[in-house]
Amino acid sequence: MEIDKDLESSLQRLGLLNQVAKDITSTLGLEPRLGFVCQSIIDIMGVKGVSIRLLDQKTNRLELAFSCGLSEEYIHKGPVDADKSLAKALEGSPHFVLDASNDPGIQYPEEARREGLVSVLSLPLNGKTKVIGTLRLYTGEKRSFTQDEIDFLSALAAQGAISLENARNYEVLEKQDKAKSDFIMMMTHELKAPLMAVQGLLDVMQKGYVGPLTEKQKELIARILRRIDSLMEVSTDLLDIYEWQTDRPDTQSIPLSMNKQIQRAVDLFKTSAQEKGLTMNVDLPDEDLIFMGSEDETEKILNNVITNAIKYTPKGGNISLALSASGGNVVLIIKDTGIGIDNQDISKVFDEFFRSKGAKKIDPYGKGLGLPFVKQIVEGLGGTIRVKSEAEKGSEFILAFPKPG
Amino acid sequence: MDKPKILIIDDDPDLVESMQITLEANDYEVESAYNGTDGLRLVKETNPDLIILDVMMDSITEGLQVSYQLRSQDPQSPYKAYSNIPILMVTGVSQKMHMKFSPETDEDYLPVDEFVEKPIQLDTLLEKVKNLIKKSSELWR
Repeated sequence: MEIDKDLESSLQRLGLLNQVAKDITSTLGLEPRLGFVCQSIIDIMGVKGVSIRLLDQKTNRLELAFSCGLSEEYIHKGPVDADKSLAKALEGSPHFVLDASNDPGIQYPEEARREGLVSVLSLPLNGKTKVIGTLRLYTGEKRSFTQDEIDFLSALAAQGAISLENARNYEVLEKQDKAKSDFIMMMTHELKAPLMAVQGLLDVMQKGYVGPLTEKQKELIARILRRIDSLMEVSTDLLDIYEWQTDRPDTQSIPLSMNKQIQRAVDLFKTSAQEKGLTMNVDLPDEDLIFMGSEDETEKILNNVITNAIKYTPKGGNISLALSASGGNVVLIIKDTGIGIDNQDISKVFDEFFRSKGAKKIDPYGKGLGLPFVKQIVEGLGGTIRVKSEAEKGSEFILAFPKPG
Repeated sequence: MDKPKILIIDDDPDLVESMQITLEANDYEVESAYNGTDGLRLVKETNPDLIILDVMMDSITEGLQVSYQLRSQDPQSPYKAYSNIPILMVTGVSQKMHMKFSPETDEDYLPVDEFVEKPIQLDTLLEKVKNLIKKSSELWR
């Protein structure tokens, strides 16, 4: 009968180990899983209570993550200091105390006695690089644990530690993400709203609504407006890059028609191109070429490259957009007859803050964040962007996006 | 004929100023309020032909709240008589990130008639204002 009991016990232990190992990659529903593990330990080991505490690096205290079989009163007995409470466990090895009411390793012996806790086994929760907390078993009467039992519990603690670490990291990432979104929204408002207000007032002056302007006044207002435009661009670029720095924010990729996206962008810029005396032509195939992306991202890409083409092409020039399918990709080529890029600069155009001499002449205030940003988004969509150019003749940007499936 | 009356509800006094000057120079009579509460009060007091409303004022949704109140379907609503006044909503870039709304697809969410995005192009503003007032006066002939 002893052998059967041992077998059954082994099976139970293996079962629990297996369960916890499977849970490692799941990062949701942590509490119910911890509850299940605690209760299982109580059942399998026949102990009175179990607690899982996590180390708070800043305060050097062990904060309760979960407990089973312990009263509220005992749980909230007071702050558990890492160096006063079963300290050896935090060094990485199991720490056993036979009589909690009488041991210097126990921070609250009186409370333990009142709770009816006698022996305490504390196991380290070993995370990837350091101990992240302790798993504790409390018994109702004096009892020691066999090496077998300690081995099993150590294995359990090890698996559980990784699961807990993952869950914690996920939580930290989520908080960081939210903090980032909130920051962006606030900065967008704080940076841009005043700029827009200023633009509005200057616009009103420029249109002559508050009295006729002298030529010089008109000129100065135009200059101010240009600086503000540039500031707005920089704000937008900075915020966009910040938002996209780690990885694509929560955007869903859906199948989109590149034809439609291009048409929309061209319609948006038709007037600006015309005003600058530029011709813009679009060559779209009859069939819709589909790629995976989001409207927001595609808008940003297209608006950026078209704006550049318009900016750097002098009056009388031409901008052309051609869309085609080639080797499993949707390819957009945007050509302009603008100032082009010097050979020595071509490899640098996608570098952050890089501005060629020619570009600086046309727009002294640009910050050089547009193209690096476009590249980031394009690559985030699994695409590529290349440039061919000849100084004084014009540039050609080739964007390729993978077709779905 | 009386000049059409426009009520601007927006917490940025500089923005209000630019819109007001532009609209007045184009033969509109303009009143303004800098928060939702004053705005709603002025709707009742002045019975405007058009309301220009900023989405975000003191709080992220203040503009939305005002539009919901004005368009409330509740038969006891104090704004029942004013629920047909066209509303032109002013939206900022940051709102786009969290709320996608257009009069065509999201009428359920946001009961306004038209949108104008910041930074406001004065010509665009004038055009939208003209169209909304024209549409509304044709409806109520």
